[in-house]
Amino acid sequence: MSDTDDTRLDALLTAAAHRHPGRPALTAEGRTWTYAELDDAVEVLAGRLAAVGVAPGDRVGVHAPKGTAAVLGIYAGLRAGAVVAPLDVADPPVRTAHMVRGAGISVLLTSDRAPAASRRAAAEALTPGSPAATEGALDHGLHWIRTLPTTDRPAPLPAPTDHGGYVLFTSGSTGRPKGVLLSHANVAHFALWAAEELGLTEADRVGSQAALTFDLTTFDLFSTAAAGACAVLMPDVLRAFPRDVVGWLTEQRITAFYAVPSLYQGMLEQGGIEGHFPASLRVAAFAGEPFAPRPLERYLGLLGEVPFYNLYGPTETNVCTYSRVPADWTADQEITIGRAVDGDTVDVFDEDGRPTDGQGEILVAGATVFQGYLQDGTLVDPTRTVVFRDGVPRRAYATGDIGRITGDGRIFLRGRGDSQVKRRGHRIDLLDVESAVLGLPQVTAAAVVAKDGPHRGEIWAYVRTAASAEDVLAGLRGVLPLRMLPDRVVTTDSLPVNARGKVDRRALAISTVTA
Amino acid sequence: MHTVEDLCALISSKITWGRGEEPQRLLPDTPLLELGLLDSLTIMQIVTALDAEAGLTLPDTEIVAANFRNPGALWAVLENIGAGAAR
Repeated sequence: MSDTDDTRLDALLTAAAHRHPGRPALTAEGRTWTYAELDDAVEVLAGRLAAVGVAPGDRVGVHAPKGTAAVLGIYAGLRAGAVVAPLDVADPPVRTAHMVRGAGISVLLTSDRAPAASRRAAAEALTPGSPAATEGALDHGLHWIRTLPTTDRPAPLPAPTDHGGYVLFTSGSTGRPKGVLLSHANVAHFALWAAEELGLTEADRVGSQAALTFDLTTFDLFSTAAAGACAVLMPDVLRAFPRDVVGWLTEQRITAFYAVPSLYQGMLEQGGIEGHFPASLRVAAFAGEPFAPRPLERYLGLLGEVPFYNLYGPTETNVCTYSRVPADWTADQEITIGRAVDGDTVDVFDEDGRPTDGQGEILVAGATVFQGYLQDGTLVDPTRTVVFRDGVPRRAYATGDIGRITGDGRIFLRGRGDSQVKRRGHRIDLLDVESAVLGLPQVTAAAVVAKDGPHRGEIWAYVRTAASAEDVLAGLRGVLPLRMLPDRVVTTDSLPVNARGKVDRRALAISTVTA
Repeated sequence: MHTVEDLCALISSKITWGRGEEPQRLLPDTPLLELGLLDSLTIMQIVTALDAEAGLTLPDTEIVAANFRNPGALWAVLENIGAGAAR
């Protein structure tokens, strides 16, 4: 048991409203909300949700562009006891519908800014032949759309998520996004740990740049609330423009910032951050993918006394290891993802399932480890009991990441043992993309690979089809989010096979043939 | 690259359109960012194509959301760059 076992995420907000009622809690879309205002609005909205039939344990999707309405929707859902799943309005409706059905989402909360996209996703999610989704208006520009009749509730989730939780979707190998089910305590443990480790106080202004579907924003929302600080939401349209991000960090006097290395590197290479370093910044963190060594060294020079944290962990464990990058670190040294956060146990295991000092798979146990995947309406728990180095058996999640651990508990990453890749900070399962390709008409065979050699870092789809590469790409655009589209589609009459008669992905990965 | 329509065509050619969407329908005032049509990769592809196909080099300082909010806004920036180059 840890001290966060019964902490509720929405209670962090209420506690801050008691301690600092008049302090700023949220700045978004040109308005600042105090903690008292935000907590009151959440309380009223939660009551409205209950009145339209949202009961504890129900799954509620927040399908709204990042903004005040989305934040209110998340907190109100949590306050009503729902399991809240932030969803991305830019995802194709077909994919959103998979998530709605897979997680058993019965209500979507949408905002004035994207009702059409939400209606399309809801229509797509409904069983064919069932009547159109009912909907209604709430306060603050929020609307609800019912995607499952109240008489059609999915089976209740086991404790503790029968009284609420959080769902973040990740790319899965089956072609269906997997819903990572987290308890309040899972998220709260990370939020409180990070607030303390990064030294957040009520004077901080936390810059929130990531999508709400991304686990980085659990820091932006909940660590911020735990500290009574102010969450400042960056307008979504700025994310693709590193120069705007640098300007925004300065104008908004951001003091704490958590982002993927791709964005930090963009700010260095195109954003001019070296000439215009945000003066208020006092702590920064990155996660999601390894930081390229040379840009990292340049950042450390820029940051000076400002601590720069490397946080590691798949969505299933949120952050499970951390390291404050030494200010004098240089690009010729190996970078560590650090040691386990308090409350988690992280170790490396060999193929026989024993802790090893050599290379092996990284396993995580402890307070941040998720409850299981929501898939096809049911909860699937992939964790297993594993005996750790200290002889203690623990419920552990195998990350699929390969690494090595030193005698003092620092872990070094060594890649992956499966089909999962990171591209620009996004986790993508190549088999997820491949099954989308195979689902297109006119496609008879396909292999999706991460390229090596001159196109390293790109994802290419090799497709046996009568259709053109453009047709394949257009088809994929209808079923996959932009971030998951292949960088290139190569149509081919045949796919190479290896000695065992299977598609030779290794050969494709290094092939330079483009047609 | 002579008109804003040429620019619309270039931008359109870099966007991955879904089936059933109408690629030709980009207008000078189409809100590219609000509609989520551009991601960071598409933006870099447009910048590269402007350089390669039209000889217009967009400096990093001009690669900002305000200039990509619609084709007309980007056209105004390109006209300035073109005028500068012609002098």
